[in-house]
Amino acid sequence: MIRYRGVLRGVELFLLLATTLGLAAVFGLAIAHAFNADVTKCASRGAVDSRTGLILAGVALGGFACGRLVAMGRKWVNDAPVIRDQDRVRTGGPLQGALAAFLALAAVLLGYETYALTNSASAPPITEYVRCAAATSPTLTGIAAFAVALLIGNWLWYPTE
Amino acid sequence: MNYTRPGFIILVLVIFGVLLPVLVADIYLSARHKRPVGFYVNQFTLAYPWFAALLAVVFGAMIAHFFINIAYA
Repeated sequence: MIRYRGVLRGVELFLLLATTLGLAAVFGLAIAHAFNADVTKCASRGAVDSRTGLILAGVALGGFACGRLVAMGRKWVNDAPVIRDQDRVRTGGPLQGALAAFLALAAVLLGYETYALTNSASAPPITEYVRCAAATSPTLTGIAAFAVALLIGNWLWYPTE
Repeated sequence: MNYTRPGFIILVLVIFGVLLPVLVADIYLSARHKRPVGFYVNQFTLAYPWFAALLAVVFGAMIAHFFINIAYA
C-alpha cells in the first residue's frame, strides 16, 4: 500500500479541491437564498417538524466523527510525523494572528448576542437566525453544520500517535 | 421579531468565511508538501488541552442550542 501513497496524495488534493468547489457552490446558493428569501416568514414558522432539528444535530455530530476519520486518513496518506506535546508551541505568526482574529470575531458576535437578548424585538439573537435558516433551508443548513463540525473534529480530535 | 436580510447575509459570510479560506490554505500547503493547518492547530490543542476541551464543549452546546427544539423556539 505504501507505494500507492503518491497516488493517494493526488486523490487527497483532488478531494480537497472538489470539497472547496462544492462548498463555494453551497456558499453561492446560501447567499442567493439570503438575498431572495422572505425574511418576514421567520416570525411565523410554526409548522416546523421538531425532528428536523434532531436530524441536523445528528448530522453535525456525524461531521465531528468524520473529521476524526479524515484526520486519520490524511495522516496515513502523508505519513505525517507524530505530534508531540511541546511546552513551547511554535505556532507564532499567522496562526496566532488567525486565533486573535477568531476571538475578536467571537467577542463581536457575543456582544451582538448580548444586545439582542435585551432588544429581541428589534434585533433578533443569532440563535433565531440559525433556527430560521434551519427551518426554511434544512439541507443547506445541514451541509454547513456538517462542514463546520468536520473541521472542528479534524482539528480537536486529531490522531496524536 | 424584526429579522433583517443583512443578518442572514452576515450569518452565511461568517460560516463560509472561516471554512473556505481554511480549505484554500490546506490545498496550497498540501500541494507544496507542507504541513496542513490542522497540524499547527493540533500542536496548540496538545499544549493547551483544557482550552481545546472547553472549545469542544462550547461547540457541542452551540449545536444543541441551535438545533434541538427549533419547532418550539
